[in-house]
Amino acid sequence: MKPFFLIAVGLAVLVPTTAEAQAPEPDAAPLASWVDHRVAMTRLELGYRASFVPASGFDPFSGNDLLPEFYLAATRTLFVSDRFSFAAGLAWDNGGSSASVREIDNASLRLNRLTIPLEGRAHFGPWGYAFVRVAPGTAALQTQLSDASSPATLSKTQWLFATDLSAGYAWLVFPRFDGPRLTGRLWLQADVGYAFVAQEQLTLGPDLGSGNTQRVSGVDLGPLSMNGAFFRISAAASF
Amino acid sequence: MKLAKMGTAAVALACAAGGCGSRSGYWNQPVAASSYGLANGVALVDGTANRVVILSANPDQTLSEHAVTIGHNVTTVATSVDGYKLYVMSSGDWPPQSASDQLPELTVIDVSTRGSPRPTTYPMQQPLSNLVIDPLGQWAVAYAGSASTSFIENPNEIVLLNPNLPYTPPAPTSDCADGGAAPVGDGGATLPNPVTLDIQSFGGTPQQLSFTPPLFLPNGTDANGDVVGATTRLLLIESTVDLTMLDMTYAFLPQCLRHPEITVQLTDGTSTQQEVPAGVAVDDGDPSDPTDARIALWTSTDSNVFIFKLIAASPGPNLNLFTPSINSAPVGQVPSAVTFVHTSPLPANDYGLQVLALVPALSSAVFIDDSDETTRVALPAAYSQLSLVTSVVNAGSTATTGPDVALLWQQGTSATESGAGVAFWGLANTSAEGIDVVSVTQPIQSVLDVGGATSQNPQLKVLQLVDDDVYVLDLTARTASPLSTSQAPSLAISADGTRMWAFEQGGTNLAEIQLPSLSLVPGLTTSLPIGSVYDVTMASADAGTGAPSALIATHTGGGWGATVFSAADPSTASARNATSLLVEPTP
Repeated sequence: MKPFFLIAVGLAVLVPTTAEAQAPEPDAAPLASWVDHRVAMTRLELGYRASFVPASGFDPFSGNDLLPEFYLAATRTLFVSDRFSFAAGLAWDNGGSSASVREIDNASLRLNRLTIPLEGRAHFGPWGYAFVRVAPGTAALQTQLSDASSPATLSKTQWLFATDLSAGYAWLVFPRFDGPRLTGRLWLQADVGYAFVAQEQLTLGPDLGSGNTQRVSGVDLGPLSMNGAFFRISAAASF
Repeated sequence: MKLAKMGTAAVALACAAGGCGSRSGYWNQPVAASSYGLANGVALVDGTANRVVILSANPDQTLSEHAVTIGHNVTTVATSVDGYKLYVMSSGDWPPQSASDQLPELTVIDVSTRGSPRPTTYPMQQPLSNLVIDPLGQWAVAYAGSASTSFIENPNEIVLLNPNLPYTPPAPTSDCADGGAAPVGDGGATLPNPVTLDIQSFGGTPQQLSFTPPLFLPNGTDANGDVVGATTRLLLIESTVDLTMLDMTYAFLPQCLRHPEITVQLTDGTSTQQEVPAGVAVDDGDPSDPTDARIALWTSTDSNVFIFKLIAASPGPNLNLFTPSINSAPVGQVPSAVTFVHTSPLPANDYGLQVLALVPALSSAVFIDDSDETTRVALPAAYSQLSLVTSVVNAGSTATTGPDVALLWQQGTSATESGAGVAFWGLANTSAEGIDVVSVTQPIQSVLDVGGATSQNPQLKVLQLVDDDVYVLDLTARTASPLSTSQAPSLAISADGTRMWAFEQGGTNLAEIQLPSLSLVPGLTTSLPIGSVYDVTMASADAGTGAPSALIATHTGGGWGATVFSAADPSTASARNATSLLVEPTP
């Protein structure tokens, strides 16, 4: 239920009903209908995220504690006040890692984060904006171990509570001026932060077929917490 | 993508700066393990991960796992006779290059405590590669032997250990400063454990070590000048040129109180002949006579049997109150097996104690009596192995002593040899009259005892023939029942002697043979190839007859697995498979 709920909430905030209506008027009367679309905007972000997961539970799946992820997000400005704005949206991070285990097995991990980014922005006109972001959501953790001592692949999938906290800067690449003009704009942005994912005990069980009556015990790889710092770079298009 | 690579590099640099970014070395270590059966579980020695994983079976066929840390670079692993202790000797990071390098050590893991193995570590001064466990569980001794692990080492240095006591380093000052007047041992100063001894040498190096059973030896004289005795045990050290005896009663005492070892040269000292020790036999003789204990030693290079009688020592400065008197008796060719046997009373020894040596090259046996006179007996075949089965064959007899019964067999290696079967030999007379042969079709590869000290079927022995057939020999009925096999079976017998398991190593077939009925429970299979099988009592059970048991079949592929069967009611359907036993990290 969690991911569907998040998708619903995300889509709701992306419906183009509020930003322009709620954007406060600039001080000057001649600009009463003026809307800066470098502030009030809908954005699509596509990027790369590198998470550093120092937990020992991640060791079977990585030789360097690094989890690379693909990042996709859509946000919409919901509220504008002076140089500040607030935006929300829906984000998806997907990444995985695999490693050899004791030179005999292969262990792999895939993480899908589905979060609602809630972003506070401080705008600097043509120079873009700085932002802080909190992104509560959920993460699907899939782990797998292929071992010759098991009659079937050992695996486990679990949905877990997840939240990202980050801060970064979005630099407006083009066009940088003529804010009121409703046109597509290109951004480059980067943020650094810390991710929280609920801890999970990695008790992997065999994927036996439905007709298989074998009694097979799995393997306990210990607890895993995917908490850790991350770095994200992305390109965004706004309109 | 370039930006992504730069980002990754930035994170990697940040991680490197923060000292992060690597995983535990455990995950990079290959699996190179071996398994050892214990009374109530199985030990997987995972040397590359510096640990032992103890597996114990539960009533629902699940396995409980306990990991115990051991030293680096395992050299020797052994189990105690009762199966409740595992000994793991390691050479450490030798030679040490830094202060953090590990030194040699011996780890003794006690599994008699249910559910929580209790390890004790004993540091050692140099790496040793040979370990002998006292069958009575009192001591263990480590020695270098022929395998050298150092640039230079003293092969006559041995390390004695009491595995029932914790590690106790030697006192910094000598306990002999007061001339040995201070009490030591019980109620006194704590004795060091282990102790390192340098055994005197006449040019030989220790080849085989063994602990004797308790012996009633001379211990001085009473007011009448009669020899009085005391029960003690000896450590026998067989070298290439001599036999050394160390009185274990005093072995852990300070130097000034320790009774020195006694070394007897096997040659007269005029030759450089080297011997290859093959074995020793020990007999206490009359339990009430302190002067008739004796040791027989034979080698694989000499046609003589050396007999040492332990008699009262002459009064003098020597701390030992007994001394060996050596004689050698020629038996014609190199003997293959030697033991002490009781025959009918002899003129010189009404106890009838003689040495019996099998000489297969001459198809004969040689008796050596108390006065070292030899009597040769021609045998119907070139029997090379023997085992005394008197206590089983004469079970129910009221006689406490009497002529022994020996079981003889010819150990073969190929089907081209003739099968001599097994022979029961009543030793009332030193002749071949009492020989009764039970035929089997092929030469015998090995003879297995059925069960341990608590066996319910000690009258059975299992014969494995060179053609892979199996016979179950009943010593009392003198019958040999065949079990035909289609493939070479490996066998495992339960400690209580009520079950035997046959399996195909590397295959998936398994069968239970109930003893003594020989009823088969066939059709058991595992999903993965079997490495070994172990019949063990369950983790929650008390040891002993009737304890609930399980069969653990190990699978050595990948990260090692195991299939657990109920020993009482085995079936493939109820068996449970445990996987990746050596993948799980130590908590």
